[in-house]
Amino acid sequence: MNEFQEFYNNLNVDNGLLFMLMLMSTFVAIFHTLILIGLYEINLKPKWLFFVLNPLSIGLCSLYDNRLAALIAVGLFLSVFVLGIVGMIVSMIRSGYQDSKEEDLRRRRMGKTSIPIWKKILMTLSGLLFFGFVLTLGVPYFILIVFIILPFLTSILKPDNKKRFYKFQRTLPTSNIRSVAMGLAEISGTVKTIEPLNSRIGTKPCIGFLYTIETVTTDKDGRDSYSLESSETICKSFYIQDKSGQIRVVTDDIEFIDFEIDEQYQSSMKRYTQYLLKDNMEVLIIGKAALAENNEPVFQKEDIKNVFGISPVASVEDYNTMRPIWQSAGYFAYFWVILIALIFLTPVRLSNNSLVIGKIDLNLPFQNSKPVKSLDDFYDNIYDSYDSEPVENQYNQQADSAEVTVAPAEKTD
Amino acid sequence: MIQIFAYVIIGLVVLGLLNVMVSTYNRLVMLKNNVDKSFMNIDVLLKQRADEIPNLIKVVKESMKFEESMLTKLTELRTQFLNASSPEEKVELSNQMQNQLKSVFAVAENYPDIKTSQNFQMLQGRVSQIEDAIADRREFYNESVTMYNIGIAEFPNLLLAKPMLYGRKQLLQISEQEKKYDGVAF
Repeated sequence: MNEFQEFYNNLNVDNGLLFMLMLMSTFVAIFHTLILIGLYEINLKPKWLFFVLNPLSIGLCSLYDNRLAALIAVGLFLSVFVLGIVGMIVSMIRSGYQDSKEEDLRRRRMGKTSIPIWKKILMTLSGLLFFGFVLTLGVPYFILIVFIILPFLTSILKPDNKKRFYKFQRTLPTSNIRSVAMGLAEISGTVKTIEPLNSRIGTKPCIGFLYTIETVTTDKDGRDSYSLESSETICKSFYIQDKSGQIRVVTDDIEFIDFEIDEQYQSSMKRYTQYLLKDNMEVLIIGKAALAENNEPVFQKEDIKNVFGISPVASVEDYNTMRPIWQSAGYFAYFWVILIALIFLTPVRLSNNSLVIGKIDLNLPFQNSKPVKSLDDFYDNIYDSYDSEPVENQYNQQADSAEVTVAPAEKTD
Repeated sequence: MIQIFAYVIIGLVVLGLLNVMVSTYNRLVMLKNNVDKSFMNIDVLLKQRADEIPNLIKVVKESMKFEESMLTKLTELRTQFLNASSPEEKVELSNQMQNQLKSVFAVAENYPDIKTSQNFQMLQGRVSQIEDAIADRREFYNESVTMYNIGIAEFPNLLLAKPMLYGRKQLLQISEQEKKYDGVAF
């Protein structure tokens, strides 16, 4: 406490520095605004609140004491981290709660009971324990696992309707409509209107449409990037017809996959896009064949596999053509990435005209990490992770057979 | 720092490969189950067709007194089919039943009262519908088998298919009897 008092008393903040701090606090306001809107989903009004509040609080404090104003500026800066970390936790809890609600709804539709509360609590506790355990391994491991490995795993493993659609499309043969067996099935044919609908943009006649709104962000080089703000699929029931017959498609929860853009425009930093399902389009649908209440065969969402998608036949053919190429490229990339990683791990040096290749050090990194009990441990771990073993030690383990000697140059008179 | 980067890369690649392995395994299991399911879906229709036989016999019995042996044979085949356990036996009996049914419908043409009977026409239509569906499902079965056979021979699937003892499956063959064409008789 005394140290803090001493530090505070020795602070020397002139008006120039104060002005700089006020300017910086407007920069910090960007983060405050983004965090509150993005992570806490607060409808901040007015949006410029923190751009005024931050410099104003520093300015007002400076009327009392410049040192207090400086302290407030540091506090504002640190609050970004605190708000960010708490916001991430809040956002995770919220999305977990939302997912759990959707899962309950899905189970109810399938006639199953919802997951009991004790199971949900157990799952949440397991998640918290996992993160706690990872934190005890040390900060570098925590950063690696939470910010690199987990997002990577989530991106490749998290299932969605589109991934499932293409997965089943590669596995299921196409059924003839007149003889489609009840259960998960893939059918293909021409779309026939039962009840027409008007599209959102241009009020065009159609059977259904997908309408998306994206927020446009422009970087300093003038490049635009888009993030999805909202997406809406409206589709009326329709018939799908092939050479053998036709079946009615019940379109609840249907997803439009890889449709061609029908209309698109940009206005007020928003991009509006429309995709249409029109009469006589050739499509492929994956879902479930079932009997309606009047014993009429219908095609609808498959609740157990959680898949129900429609895609133009041309898009599916494109996907099937491109997939082996992407797959080969993937295997090729895997090979080279492994090779490059091994090169990085192999110590090599030039000594007396010899290229000396050391043994690959397979000891785990971050061995010096220690459990985080204080802020000092946090910094120690970060700095320690950059400390490496003395280079000489690595070459002491050189492989005998790996020595390459450069032949002496021929003497010329 | 580079060493850490290399370890991360290796870790991610290993995880990626693990993912490929799991999805390959799942795909093979699904392909195999598709084949089994599509065969059972044919079986359902064969059973439906067999179930129409008692109705057919009820309709034609009175008028076709002289063809009793034909109807008895059909009933026997149906009983054998319902008691059959192996798929091969079922397919064989089903083929015989199909031929017998064709004969019944052909002979029934000689009996004007049956030919014009609404019940008979309805049954004939129903059996014909089931026959069409069976043909579709045979086609579907063959497609499932083809996808499975290609699936187990593709790389990297074949690395898993061998240890899982997944071998090639046979397509449904058209019997010699079905291929035989007797010409059109006027």
